[in-house]
Amino acid sequence: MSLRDPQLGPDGTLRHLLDLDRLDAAMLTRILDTAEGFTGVNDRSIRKVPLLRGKTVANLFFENSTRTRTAFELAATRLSADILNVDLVTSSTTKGESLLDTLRVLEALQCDLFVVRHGDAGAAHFIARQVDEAIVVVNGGDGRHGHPTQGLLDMFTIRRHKQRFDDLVVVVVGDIRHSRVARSDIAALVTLGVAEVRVAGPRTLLPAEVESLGVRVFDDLDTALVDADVIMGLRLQKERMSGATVPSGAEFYRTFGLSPERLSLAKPDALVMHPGPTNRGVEIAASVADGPQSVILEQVTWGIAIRMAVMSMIIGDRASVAAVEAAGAAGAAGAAGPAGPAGAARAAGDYAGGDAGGDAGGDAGDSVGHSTVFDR
Amino acid sequence: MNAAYVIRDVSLALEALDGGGCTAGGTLHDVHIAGGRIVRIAVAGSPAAGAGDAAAPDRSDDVDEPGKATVIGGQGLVALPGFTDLYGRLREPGPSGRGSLASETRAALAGGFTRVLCAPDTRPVIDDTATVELIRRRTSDSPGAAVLPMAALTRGLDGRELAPLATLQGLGCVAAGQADRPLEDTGVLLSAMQYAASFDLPLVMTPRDAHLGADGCAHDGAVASRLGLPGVPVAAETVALARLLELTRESGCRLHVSRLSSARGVVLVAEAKASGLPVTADVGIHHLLFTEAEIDGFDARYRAEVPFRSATDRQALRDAVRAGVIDAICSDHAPLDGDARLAPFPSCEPGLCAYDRFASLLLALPSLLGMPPSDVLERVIDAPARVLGLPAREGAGTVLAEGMAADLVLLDASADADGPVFGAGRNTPLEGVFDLAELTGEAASLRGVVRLAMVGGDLRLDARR
Amino acid sequence: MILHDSEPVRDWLDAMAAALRPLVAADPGIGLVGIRRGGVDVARHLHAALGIELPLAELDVAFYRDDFDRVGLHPVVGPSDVPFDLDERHLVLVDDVLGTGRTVRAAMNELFDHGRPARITLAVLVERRGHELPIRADVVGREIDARDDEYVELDAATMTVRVGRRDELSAVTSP
Repeated sequence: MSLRDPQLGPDGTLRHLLDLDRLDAAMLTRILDTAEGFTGVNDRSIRKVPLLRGKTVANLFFENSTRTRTAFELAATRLSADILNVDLVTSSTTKGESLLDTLRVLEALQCDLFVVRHGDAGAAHFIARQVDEAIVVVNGGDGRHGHPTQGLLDMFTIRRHKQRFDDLVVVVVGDIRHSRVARSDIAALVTLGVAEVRVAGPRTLLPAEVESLGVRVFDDLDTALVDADVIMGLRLQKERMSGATVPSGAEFYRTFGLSPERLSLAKPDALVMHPGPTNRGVEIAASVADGPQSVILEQVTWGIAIRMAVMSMIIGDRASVAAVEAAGAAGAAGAAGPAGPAGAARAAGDYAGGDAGGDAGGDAGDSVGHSTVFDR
Repeated sequence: MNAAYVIRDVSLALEALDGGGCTAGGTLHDVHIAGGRIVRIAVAGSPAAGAGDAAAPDRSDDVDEPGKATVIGGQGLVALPGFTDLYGRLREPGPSGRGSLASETRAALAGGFTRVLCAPDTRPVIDDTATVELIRRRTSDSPGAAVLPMAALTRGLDGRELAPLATLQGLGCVAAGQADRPLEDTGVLLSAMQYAASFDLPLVMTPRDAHLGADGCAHDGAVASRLGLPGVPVAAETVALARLLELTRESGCRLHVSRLSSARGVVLVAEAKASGLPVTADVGIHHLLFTEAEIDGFDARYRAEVPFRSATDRQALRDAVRAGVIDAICSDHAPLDGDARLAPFPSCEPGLCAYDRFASLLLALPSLLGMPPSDVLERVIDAPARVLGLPAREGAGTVLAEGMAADLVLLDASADADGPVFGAGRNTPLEGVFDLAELTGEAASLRGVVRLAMVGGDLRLDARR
Repeated sequence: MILHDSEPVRDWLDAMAAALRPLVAADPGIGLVGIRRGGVDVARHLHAALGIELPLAELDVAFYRDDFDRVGLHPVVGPSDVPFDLDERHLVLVDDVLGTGRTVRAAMNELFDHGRPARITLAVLVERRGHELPIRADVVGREIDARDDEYVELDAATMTVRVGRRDELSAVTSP
């Protein structure tokens, strides 16, 4: 690949969130750790922090999705940002105005961050390459390619319950071929180093050369579920249920549905996950979706913290990079070192001196227990 | 044309360089052109070389001597017979902005082609007299490479009714085909092949099933799977190819398989040839260079009508070109205007323009494919003529010979292509790239510029410094 | 570099506890809030020494800092943990070093998003020069007159306080 990946800056800072394929374990962990902090905000009476005050987040949804849109909206609101909801499903784009024309108009409105949901794989990458450098793009789902915030909140949910990834057997079952959630989940699971990712589904619903994604293929869900720690169901869309890929929802349930009997094949504390909305009686039995092992509703809750983390991290990283560049340009002393949270802390003016290594390494684990040497 | 020329001190052969690329090789010659033909070739500096200009002070200079031949300096250049392209989209008739006969036939000359088989999917398609006449008129007005029109096999390329093939053949169409459009109805396909066979009109057909991978935009393999792009499986090519080959057997029609992309497709063609079927095949030059890896990161520069497949497929295509199972290399030239790529990958128009850099890509093939340069040249000079049943050139095909029509190019094999671009499209990843490694990681020098092109003795492109 | 070792530091903590004892006696419902991370270490000592009933609250002020637009999101240790109701309560806000005052401002902003305390008393182990905001501690373990180009930091593991030059910091990273 000779095209530059717009997602990462020159020193590894996150400039956009487009997919999880190229984010390493350290970056994924950083996002999960940051989200951990935001969970506290959502538990108290004033569910707001001032981080993105004065910033504008625009939801560019070219495809309907109330669920994802409201989740991003809520996250942005809790960061004190202003929201702009741009309904592109019924608006000018259907009149033939090109995607690019629409983007130019939105750029003129001076938004700081675009959340993009589009039917074409690669749409978020395209938009990130086309819009002004200063605008952040967060992929809210592009065709079958990726849904990175969903993948992240799924990883967060797993970590909350299982604490570690390396000894987990995770089963992803259903329509992987057409699922952006599956691709993001699989990419993250592989990067985080789980013991095994198993995929199960009829061959019509598996992508070509699926093993190349780092998974093991099972034609039979029962076998796949033995000793599973996490089971991730996927939504089977209506149009797939009666076409040439799957004969009916009933037959799908019979062969690959997560019934209570099947669930009992997995470990007794196995997590049942699903991005929602579930088709009860097709992918999953109602009793399993509502049962004690299901964390489906929890996933939705963590989605807010994850999105708050992603938006504030990216905007924050960009601000610190800009400050470092400005300081460098002005020839300010002490503005050395890489950008990124700790490096940036070492960077500018009043904050010169920054963290004595402690925070650079990540905090809880610092054995010396240095206090931060920020200004107090 | 009646102008006379003598090209002095020019090589007639290419030599492969150790590190990749080619250079002018062999003895220097003088080539005399008159009346549209090559009338004499003599070793440079020998007594037989030039009549009447032994006193010319600097033999490398262009000297216009009234009443005598114009001298063209060939120092450092190679004179070759012009190439014939078995698939180029010339975009006219059609909306402007994506090229015209004038611009694309000039670009073809810059690629080394003096003859182009022009794809029938113009707008309107080449399925009636008026369109063929329009093409003939336009090309005589602003001449570039000679244009051999390809007739649409069915009216409007709709796959339902036969186009008037015999009439179109009479007007100069040398082949018929369906461009990039699948032909769904097998009955219509058989009927068309039988009809074409009665007039000994070869078919140039791209094997593509009407339904498999119909919404695909990339090779259905590991990269498309990871990127979530709808894929075109190999089966879309091989199922259609198997059908074409069986119907060739039934109809006796001459079949040229256009723009193969897969290892399995190569196997089917090899088997068909071995069983004696009148089948030939070509590959687009970019398919010898690129694979599915190139689209990673949603790089729409590599979105092509016939997708770039796996590394294994590319290797099979290279082996087939070397062995001659694939007879010819075409350009698959598809110029697009600036807007065509301003959309997410699946919504982009497919196509790469090929003419302006074609010569430099061709010169990389001896090293990449492990073939002598003369064999590579055969794939673009003799083989296309043979495929179309055009008269063989007098003399040894890939080297200029006395008596040949003066369809020739002068090539500077070591120059960087950083001069003017003649085609209307800029949709190529090769702009400013002189080593393939920058794009794919495979080292190959991409050098070579056509400095001069002549069609029928008429000097139609002069890009000398 | 000047090192105040654990004996003098313990004396400062004892002094702070002594100053706070009357407040605790007057109001047993008082809440102790430590600012991560150094303030939490100091607050733990005070919490034990004063025998405060309510569990210790910990604030992570990463989301309230005023330098987000310059240095981005400060690494977050975890969610703030305020295990009691703040409304109408007297709080003692504890930090290790008070310098510019910005951390305390951030902490107060965060506290007010949790509820409405009746009163906040600020207790710091070290107060140094360089105030940029009108914030002063009510209870101070020790005043240290450090220069602008010097840092003052608490090493919680050894309960020592170091004062040194900022440009020597890179050498002072791990044990």
